[in-house]
Amino acid sequence: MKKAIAYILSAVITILLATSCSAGLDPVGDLEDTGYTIVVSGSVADIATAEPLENVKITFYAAEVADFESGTLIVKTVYTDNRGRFNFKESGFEKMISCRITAEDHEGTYTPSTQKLFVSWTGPSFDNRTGTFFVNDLNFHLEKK
Amino acid sequence: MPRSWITAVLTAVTMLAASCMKMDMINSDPSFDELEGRIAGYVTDTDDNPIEHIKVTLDWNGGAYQEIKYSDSNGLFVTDIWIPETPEVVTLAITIEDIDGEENGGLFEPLSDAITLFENESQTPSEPMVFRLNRATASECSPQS
Repeated sequence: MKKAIAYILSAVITILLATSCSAGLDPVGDLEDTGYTIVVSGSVADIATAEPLENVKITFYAAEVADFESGTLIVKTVYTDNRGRFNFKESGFEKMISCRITAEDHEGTYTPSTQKLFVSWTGPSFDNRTGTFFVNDLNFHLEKK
Repeated sequence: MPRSWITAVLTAVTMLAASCMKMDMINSDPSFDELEGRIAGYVTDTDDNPIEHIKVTLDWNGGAYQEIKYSDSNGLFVTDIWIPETPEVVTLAITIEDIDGEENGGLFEPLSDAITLFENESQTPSEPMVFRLNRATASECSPQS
């Protein structure tokens, strides 16, 4: 009986602390007018030499998953800098999104590469206070054709 | 107080503290929108339409440090402000070049600009800069990769 009370008390304390912690429990309930934001950063390098690749086109495709209906496709393009790095932000999402991020060099020297993400606006990478989902170190290692 | 109570409460507090610390680490990532310590610019045509894939060369203090960025699909480029060891005055030369010819809205004339940052002044322009490019004829400019 005493153990049960102890565990109940710890659960109550846990819940009370959780409501004051930035982790949050229900991100959907905290939706701001501007919607959710995803911030993605990473790099592109030659798989054989590890040399960073400049001017590689990074294309971000995202579609909201809404009751199996086709959502609006968001497309954004950025390019790696002279150190092979890229980063971008996209805002305005209201539902879970399915993402595809492709790296391709316009000269056709390397085989394009694609990575997929599914973002449910929860988890340790999600900042409930700002409604931002961070994707760090989304790195590509391209192979020469 | 019985040991089982103490153990249960301490366990709950520890788990919550760990999750809050993890969120604090994520929250400490700089917001993409923050311009503090960063310079951002938009590249557009004379009608304020964004131009993608424009090469932006940033030379700090006469070439002591160089970065190359490319405008994204919103015409935006962002770079961190480079601070030398003796940051009394920092100069930034910006060179903007269309490197993909007629792609991405047509061929545009190059543009150059310069910024000087003094140690005692704000290190960040109040708003992103806008670089408006004039259209060029093929005889005036040749694309460079």
